Amino acid sequence: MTATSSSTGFELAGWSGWSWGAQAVVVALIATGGMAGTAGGGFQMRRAIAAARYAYRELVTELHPHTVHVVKIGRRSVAERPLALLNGYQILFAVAVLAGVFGLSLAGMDLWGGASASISALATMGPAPGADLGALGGGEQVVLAVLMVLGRLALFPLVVVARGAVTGTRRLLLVERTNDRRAHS
Amino acid sequence: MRRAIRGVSEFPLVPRAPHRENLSLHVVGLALLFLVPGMLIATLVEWGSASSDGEWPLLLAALITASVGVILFRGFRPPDDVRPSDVFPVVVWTWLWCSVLGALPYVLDADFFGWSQWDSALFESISGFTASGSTVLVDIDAHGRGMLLWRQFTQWYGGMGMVVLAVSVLPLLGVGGQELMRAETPGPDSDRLAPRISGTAKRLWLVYGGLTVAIAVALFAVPGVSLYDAVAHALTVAGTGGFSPYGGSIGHFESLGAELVMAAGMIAGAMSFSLHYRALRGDWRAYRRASDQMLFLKILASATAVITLLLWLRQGASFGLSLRDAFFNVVTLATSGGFHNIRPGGLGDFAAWTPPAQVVLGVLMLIGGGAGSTSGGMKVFRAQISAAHALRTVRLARRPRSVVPVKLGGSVIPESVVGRVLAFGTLYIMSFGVGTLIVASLGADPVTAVSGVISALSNMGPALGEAGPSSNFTVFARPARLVLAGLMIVGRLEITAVFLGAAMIVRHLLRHR
Repeated sequence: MTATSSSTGFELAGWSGWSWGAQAVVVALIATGGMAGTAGGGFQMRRAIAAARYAYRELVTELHPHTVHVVKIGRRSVAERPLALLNGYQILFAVAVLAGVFGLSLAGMDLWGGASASISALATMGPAPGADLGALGGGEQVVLAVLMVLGRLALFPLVVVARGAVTGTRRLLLVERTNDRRAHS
Repeated sequence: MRRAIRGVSEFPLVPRAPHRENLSLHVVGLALLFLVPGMLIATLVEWGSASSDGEWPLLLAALITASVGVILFRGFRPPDDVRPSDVFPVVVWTWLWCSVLGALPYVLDADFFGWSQWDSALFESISGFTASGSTVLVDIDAHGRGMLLWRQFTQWYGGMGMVVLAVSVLPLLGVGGQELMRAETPGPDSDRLAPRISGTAKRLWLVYGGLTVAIAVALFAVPGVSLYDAVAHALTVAGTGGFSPYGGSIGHFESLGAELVMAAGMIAGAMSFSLHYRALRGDWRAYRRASDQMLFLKILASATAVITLLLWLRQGASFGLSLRDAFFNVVTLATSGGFHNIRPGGLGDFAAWTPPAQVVLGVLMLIGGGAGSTSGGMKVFRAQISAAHALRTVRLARRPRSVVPVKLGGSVIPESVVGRVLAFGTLYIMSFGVGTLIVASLGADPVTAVSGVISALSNMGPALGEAGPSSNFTVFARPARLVLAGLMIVGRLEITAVFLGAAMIVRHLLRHR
């Protein structure tokens, strides 16, 4: 479990013997991943907490439309800009998972293996329950490799590159750092 | 006016109004009264058919529902002014009461479910009212026609919504009525079709009823479809429900004509009913102006094309057959109808399709239909706003100080709406994740669990894996079925209303303990 949620990728006992529920928990842990600013991959804890707090804020606003409610993690408030970026990241993450599953299934994997493998690759995890990664064809390997790079570079840079702005990447890495700094200030 | 009178009534000479103030129970009573005609019609049909004797359970259920309805409606009066936050408990209570009393015929008839299978009865009732169409009823064809017609009726009521039905005759004033409808109708804001909110609700139900009649007439014109078949299916097609009185669903008819009529009906049901109303008034361009409705049609067309190619090239079926089954199943899944057309020689069992085609179907289930329709899913406009926001964040990452509005069809979407959509997305993913974990740990395999939860949240009906169209939801453990039924209500009321309503009910109960 520790190996899973910190995206270390050490394979312990084989997952295939585990019950379906346990496999689902493993994939959920892979998707959430480790803490921000560490080497853990995945969606990352801080993002998940902020997204949940943001949703809670919107629910409160639905009841009391004129309320002013600042999203906080720990005792620090999070600025609106990083929150917006975070939600965008969440959508891109979901789209990347779906695209990965589609690509993998087109290359011949079954649905559960595809879903688990693409989440695992996006989270730079490695092994995935339900998928035999040793027996992959060329098509699957390409899809997974693309997903791993996407996941490692935190999605945004690659999407920007894909939009034809090679020069944007360097600035963007700076931007993410400033956003992080702003989030903590 | 009322307020003035209440002020006077505190003066001891004027007697107080005898009944208590409670908006929820007042609306619940009214909604229950509306269910009674459906039960009575089902009773008559059951009486007419010789083969079965479910008329007494139906009649008894109608009597109980009617008396509970009268007691609640007359015993509680609405408050003088309805605040926006009052509406969420109303919607949640209405759905719970209707689901429980709607399950009465199923438990009263020992041949159907009986008391020992109360959870199956509740599942069937919730699956009905939420217009999902998942079933735990085994050997459907063996049951009485009247009981099965009541099952169809639940989907018809739930399609447009019992709260909207109640609002159509309630003289509620102020923002309350508008908010009440917004909490139940899928979409960002309910269009105003008339100066009074009850007028808008009435018009929506009239268009809905008209569509149902039109589908019934068109189906009846298809050779091989009896009057009972036509009416029973029209009730669930208009509400994009998915129940059929036959175990073989539409495959029972083995008729291309019936499939095309039903597909057209489902597409109409998955588009905005207020736009239908405007079109009927002569404003046909209204569809053109609603970018999400046009995108929905484009999604249908492109998904049909992709799946036709996949079936044709990958599964080696003939092009004509691929096109026919791709079209019908894309429509039934994207509109969250959930009928199936499994028949000899056809490709109707989509749980057996090649995996990439199933991924496309899963995405269609998630997206769902247009705003203001009877379909489920997260709705096309939410997908549009989410996509626009994601693209915006990419731009923001490059130019951090720029101000980029989210636009939809040329008009700028207010940030409050964008925020609500994004929060909806997070809540949806959370409900999906928690639901999948519970269902999978109760013993379903991942594909069945994941697709079952997506199917329940988007009020679809059949899922993939073991719970595919040729099977039913009895593959889930009994506790898992109740979780799925809960997710159906969460999905039908678009998450926010359920979370807020449940929170407010709990707070209210704690305060008045």
